[in-house]
Amino acid sequence: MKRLLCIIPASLLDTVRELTVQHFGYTAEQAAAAWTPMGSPTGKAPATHWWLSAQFTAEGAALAEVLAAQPPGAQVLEYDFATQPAFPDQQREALQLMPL
Amino acid sequence: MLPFFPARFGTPAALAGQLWTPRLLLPLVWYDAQQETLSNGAALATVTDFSGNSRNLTQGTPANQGVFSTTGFPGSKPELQFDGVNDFAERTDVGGYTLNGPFTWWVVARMRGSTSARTPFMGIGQSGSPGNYVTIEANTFSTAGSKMGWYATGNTYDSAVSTSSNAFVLVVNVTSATAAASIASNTVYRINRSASALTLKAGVGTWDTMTGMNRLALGSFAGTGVYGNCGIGEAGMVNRSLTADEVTALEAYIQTKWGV
Repeated sequence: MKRLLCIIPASLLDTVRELTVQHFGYTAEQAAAAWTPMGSPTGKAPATHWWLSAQFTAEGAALAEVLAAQPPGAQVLEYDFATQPAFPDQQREALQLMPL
Repeated sequence: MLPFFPARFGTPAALAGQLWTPRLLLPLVWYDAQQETLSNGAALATVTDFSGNSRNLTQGTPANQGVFSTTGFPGSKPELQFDGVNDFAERTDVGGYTLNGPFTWWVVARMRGSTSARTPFMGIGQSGSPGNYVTIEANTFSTAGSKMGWYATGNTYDSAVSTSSNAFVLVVNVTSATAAASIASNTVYRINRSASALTLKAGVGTWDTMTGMNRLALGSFAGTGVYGNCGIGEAGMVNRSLTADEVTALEAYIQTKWGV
């Protein structure tokens, strides 16, 4: 299993929710809940980026990386949930985003 | 001869660590990582309620499930871990709990990520409506200045205690939550066994009418999308204000059990 942090620009949200349903067995409602607002440069809505953090099987992780390679601005980053708890915060800071 | 006096009527503090548990407070809910039997790294599809009321929290969406750690809490104790991105566990039936009367919450927790990030630990409110809800959290707004604090129906409070990555115990004891009652004058906010003054950062400082509570959550606050990057050892709620002796007993129990 791999812990992945997936980051997308807001323009891709509808697309990735559909992909989450098509390729990862989520219902539409689950896919909507799984992706959450990452932030915006000002900290005010709407979010400019959305994210998802989850455990993936090796097969699922490979698929996520393939899917992320297509659209510009999408990132799939592996991290250790136990030893890198601040990793998501660090990625948000690296993109100069503030939480909403 | 009775072995000890019933704790809900005031347990002697010296005995609290050995004889007393929060079950004696007749809590609405009691979540406790030390009583969970999950394996290390297990997904938190269910968080068990140990109050006796079977008010388990659940999370059916795999990506939103937290993680159980057998040694994550300081002192190598177990904890419920939430990632601050999208993890939470919740229930929609809060047992008729309205928050309109006195209540007491406690949380044993730590921040896992940035200590300047808003970190809700436990919340109750209305699904889909961020107007009326209460959360016990750290750094109540990201612009408020890294303080432990809490949020109650449109009112944001900082305590005098700065956030840190250390473990802590929070006890919030509310003597009245009727509409228009002063929040600060009816609330005792205790962190690590000491009362801390609350400073209003936003809002008007009075309780709003609380109706339709239909979401209780760990790792997030109810109804909207802010998530806590945190580890939770234990959390509970009682539908009344605790006496000073009961608070002392609760904090002594927690200190013995969690080291905070």
